Amino acid sequence: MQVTQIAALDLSALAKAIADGEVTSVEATAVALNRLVSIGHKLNAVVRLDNARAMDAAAAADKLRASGAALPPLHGVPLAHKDLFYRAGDLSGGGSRIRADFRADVTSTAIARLDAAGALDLGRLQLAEFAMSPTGFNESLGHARNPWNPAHVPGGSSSGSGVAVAARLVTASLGTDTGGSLRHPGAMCGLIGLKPTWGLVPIDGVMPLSASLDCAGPLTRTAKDAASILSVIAGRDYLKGIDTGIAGLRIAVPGGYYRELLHPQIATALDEAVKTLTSLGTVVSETTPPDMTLINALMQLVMSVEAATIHRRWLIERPQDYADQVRARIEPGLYYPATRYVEALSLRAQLAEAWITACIGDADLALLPAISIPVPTIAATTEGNPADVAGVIGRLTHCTRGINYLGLPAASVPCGFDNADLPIAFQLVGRPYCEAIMLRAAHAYQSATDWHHRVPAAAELN
Amino acid sequence: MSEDLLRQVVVELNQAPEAANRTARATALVTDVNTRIATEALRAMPFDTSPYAYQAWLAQADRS
Repeated sequence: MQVTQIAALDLSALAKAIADGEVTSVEATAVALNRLVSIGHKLNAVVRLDNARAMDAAAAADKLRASGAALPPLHGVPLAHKDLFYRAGDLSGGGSRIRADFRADVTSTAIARLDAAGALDLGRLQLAEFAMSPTGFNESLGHARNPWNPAHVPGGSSSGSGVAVAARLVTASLGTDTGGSLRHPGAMCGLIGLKPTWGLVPIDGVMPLSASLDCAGPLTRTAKDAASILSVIAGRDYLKGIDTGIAGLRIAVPGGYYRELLHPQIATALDEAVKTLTSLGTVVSETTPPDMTLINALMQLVMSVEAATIHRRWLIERPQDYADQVRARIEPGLYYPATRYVEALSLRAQLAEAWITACIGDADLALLPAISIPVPTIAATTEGNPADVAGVIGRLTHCTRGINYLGLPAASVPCGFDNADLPIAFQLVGRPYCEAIMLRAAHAYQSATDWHHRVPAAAELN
Repeated sequence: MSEDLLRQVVVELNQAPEAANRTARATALVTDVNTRIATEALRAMPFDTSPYAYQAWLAQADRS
């Protein structure tokens, strides 16, 4: 198989090709490493790679296959992940100056589960500083660039993961989501960004931002690939039944708050997506969200208090080593009384129930915008009037951040392109632990559409 | 919350004097968030609720 053909394979196809002997793990790993070095560095998506270790692991994977041994599901498949996931003995910088020399002494459970499933770990990918930005903003390491148009942001904070999967450098990548950090790069790079139910995927060995909100999950091109990764890292089977269709599935479309900032081009794409889902047999209803201002305030408090607790020593000793935009999001957490924090956690279950009742109602899932506005340029999110920059950043998280406070599973699903040829996505949100239903709906939608098959020019496959 | 009180909190309780220089930009947000949550807690939080109720609710929701 030619290099470009290998690079074009998605996770499921590559895993099958390796298992069937059509592609060796050494070939697939060499292709991925070459592309991470060439295209990945152009798009500033890569933090560090361990070529020698990866090639040794690939050779060992090919040897095991040749021995006739039973193979695990991701045998020999090269992957790379957000630079928050620890591997014992390796650097893990968290996108920051402050942790640039930090070496982990543990391996995260999610990474260990991928190891056990046979996946190869090529290295770590770019992210927003301390995972603190929906655009991927990183003043010290440079901003990652959107493969659909490098003048635009790729979405963050799992920016390098989004770029690497969209540009066909790797077939899947783990990221984290505290206020939308898997769904933003998913939406802005044209990918499935799956934030699981809070607590479903272990987050030990992942640099925390806000323990009550942080979720680890995959960025992939297809829902089926997301199901493959989630099955491994959650230890449950999400591939079973994914092909059974969505006839009779009920999808609610909340209005009100979720339509407030909606750009007309995004509204049109979402309406078309709803029509497609209806044509597949889903029953669509409209619902009305509760007071999202309160839920967003609760999310802001929990996130900033937990982040400020982790960062307090550095805020005292090394305040100059934070980008101002990042520090400004952490510092409010220093000011809240402890009673507010306990109240915020105590209100969580009843507000999650209230949101589900209002937004999902009798349905199985809710369909929201992933982001309400077209993918902004890097300049629009870094330069000019600070109030304007803050406004753009706030609008990007309008439909995502509240879901983290509620702890519900959610996923971005690509559903079109805007007039500037940048991706548009909708977001599916469900009740706790309904990832299987969500992935089945996304898979059915992708089976009827081809948005996920489109390839950005930066991937250099044409 | 007054800016002076917030400065005192970051300097004396959180020992973060640099943050005190930037207090003004946090004041409106902190005041708004505090007010909203304090008001909602008085209105809607049951007396015997707990910060661990959420984990119990999630566990009940997990039927797999």
